[in-house]
Amino acid sequence: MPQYVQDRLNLYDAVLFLQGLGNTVALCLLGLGLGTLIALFVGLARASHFRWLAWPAGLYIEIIRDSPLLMQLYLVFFALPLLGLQVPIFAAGVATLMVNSSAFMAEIVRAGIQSVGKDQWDAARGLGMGYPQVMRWVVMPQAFRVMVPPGVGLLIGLIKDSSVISVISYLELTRVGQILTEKTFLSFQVFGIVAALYFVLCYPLSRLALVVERRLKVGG
Amino acid sequence: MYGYVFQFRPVFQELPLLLSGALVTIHISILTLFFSFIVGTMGALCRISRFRWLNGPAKWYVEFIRNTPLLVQLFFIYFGFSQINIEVSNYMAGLIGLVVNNGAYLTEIVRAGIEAIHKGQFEAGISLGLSFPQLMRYVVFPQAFRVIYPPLCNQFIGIILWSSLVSTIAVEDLALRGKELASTTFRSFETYAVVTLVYVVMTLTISGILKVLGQRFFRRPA
Amino acid sequence: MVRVKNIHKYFGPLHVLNDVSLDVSKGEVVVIIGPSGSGKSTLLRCLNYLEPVQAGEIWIDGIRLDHHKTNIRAVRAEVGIVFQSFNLFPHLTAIRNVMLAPRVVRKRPVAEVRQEALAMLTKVGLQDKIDAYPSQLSGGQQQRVAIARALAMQPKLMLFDEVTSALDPELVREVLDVMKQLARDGMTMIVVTHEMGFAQEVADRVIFMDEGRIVEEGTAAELFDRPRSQRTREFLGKIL
Repeated sequence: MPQYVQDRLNLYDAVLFLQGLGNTVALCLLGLGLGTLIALFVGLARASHFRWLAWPAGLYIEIIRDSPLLMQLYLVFFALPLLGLQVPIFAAGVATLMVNSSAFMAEIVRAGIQSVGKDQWDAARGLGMGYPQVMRWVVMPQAFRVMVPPGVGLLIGLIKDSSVISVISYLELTRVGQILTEKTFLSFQVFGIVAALYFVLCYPLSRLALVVERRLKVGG
Repeated sequence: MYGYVFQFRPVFQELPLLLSGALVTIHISILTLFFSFIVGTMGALCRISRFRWLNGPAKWYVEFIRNTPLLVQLFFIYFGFSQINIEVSNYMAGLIGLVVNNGAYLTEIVRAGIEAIHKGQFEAGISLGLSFPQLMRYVVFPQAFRVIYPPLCNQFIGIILWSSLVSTIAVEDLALRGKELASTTFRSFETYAVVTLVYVVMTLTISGILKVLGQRFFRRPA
Repeated sequence: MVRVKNIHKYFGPLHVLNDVSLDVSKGEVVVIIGPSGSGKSTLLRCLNYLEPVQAGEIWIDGIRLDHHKTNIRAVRAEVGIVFQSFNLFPHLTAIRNVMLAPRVVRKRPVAEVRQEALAMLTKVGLQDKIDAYPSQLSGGQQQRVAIARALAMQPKLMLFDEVTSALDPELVREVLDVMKQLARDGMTMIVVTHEMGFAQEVADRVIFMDEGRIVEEGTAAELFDRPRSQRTREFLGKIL
């Protein structure tokens, strides 16, 4: 690094980068974990034969997929106080990513469930299993395989999208970039490092998704 | 929720302001689609090229853009320009950022379209004596476009939604107008609810129109 | 054991089962034959309530099959069904396929269930394939696992829906042998098949169905040698 960069970016800033990276990972894992929980129910409802279940689930998914994450963040951020909840900005960030990822994950769940053929339902019901048992023991284990590659894809998307949480001043990776840019005026270098850190997170994951997908195709 | 009364009237009174922002959103989205389609086509031609010096950089352009956030790319360009003392308008910086970003995604879409075309088509074209540009222009692209069209429409919807991020570098699009309105009316939740609704209506309408157009374009059987 | 009274079944405008009645007593082996689309597979699926009927009554072992969930579940656990396309669970090994239902439906302890599953797989001649996944087994082996899977629920009645139709000719015999043994052991069976040799050998009664109706029934000898109806004669003429 040239001397003038070293003068302005020091070891303390390196720690800040790592802190931002850690916070980004925490946001995404929590957001996706909780989102998947919701998605399980929404996806089941979406795949249901009952219209009164499938239709609201579809509407939920559609609205979230057709509106910007930034607006979802603002809505969650300003809705929580209206509900009488004074929560830290971290929680608002997680809640936003949770809601957002739940819609995309629900579609993945639905597609996974529907990839399991009617034959399997017949066989399982023919053995006397009820809906929850068929889901738990026969459909979900098979659907899960199909869900892994798009699920990893969703996680990559979420890591990138979580940069939006910087807008409410939560100290994740992008916010660290903003702070250090303001301090050092080295925007190319700072955002270059930020981008590289995101790349280090996302690139291995996207290779992983590719490998898993190929293996699934070979396995039939 | 105790005692909170929703008031949408102050928001609706300023609807023209929001709609002027929506126009900026549409405007920048269309320009983004146009320019990133050019970038994507060039990128795809590089990607399918046998030449390493074309193929390699195109590949890493795509990988790098697709594995980093749009917002960081926008900041990189916006603050970067000011660091090296080049003056560009916010709008221009936003547009460049969106084009650089979507160019990578379109590279992959166009490439998939070209690769979906049967090898025999290339051989037939070459055996007729078509040059590479002629082959692309008259044989490959007309067929590839049919494959490309649906993901292209999805991408356009994505562009509209993600263009909201240019509000963070002060481009006066729908999202920024919403933010202004929220701070003048003190009705943040209602404002963002309405703005979100405008986005949803906008994207649903446009994807509906694109679907109908698609059915018109491709009426002749595949 | 089974009593079917005047059932009707429609798929949209299609009248798939038209006033079908049937009684099967304990230990009886009934073979149903008929051209494709005659409703014989649908009849089997109705007996397990995989398809609802629009009119008529079905009684299995004294329980009326109707819209009551408990009845349906209880009956299904007592009635084993084997399908043309095997429908094994691809994510489970052979023995886990067999163990699944006794474990989660009957909620019995694993060790006990495993013992029995092993016995079932031995019975169908697959004791050395217990840890194979369905994709590693031949069609005939898969179908035998499917039979073992149904037997593991200790059903009082077994339904076989064209179980050899999807098999290569050289694999048909191993499956039929298992079924013959089962018949000798006294299992009540309803078998939809095109294997006339099997019908002649083990069926107590053969039923001919066409266009959603039971056209005629009798012992194998009666039906094959002295068919009464013109339609039966035509069908047998084509197939024998």
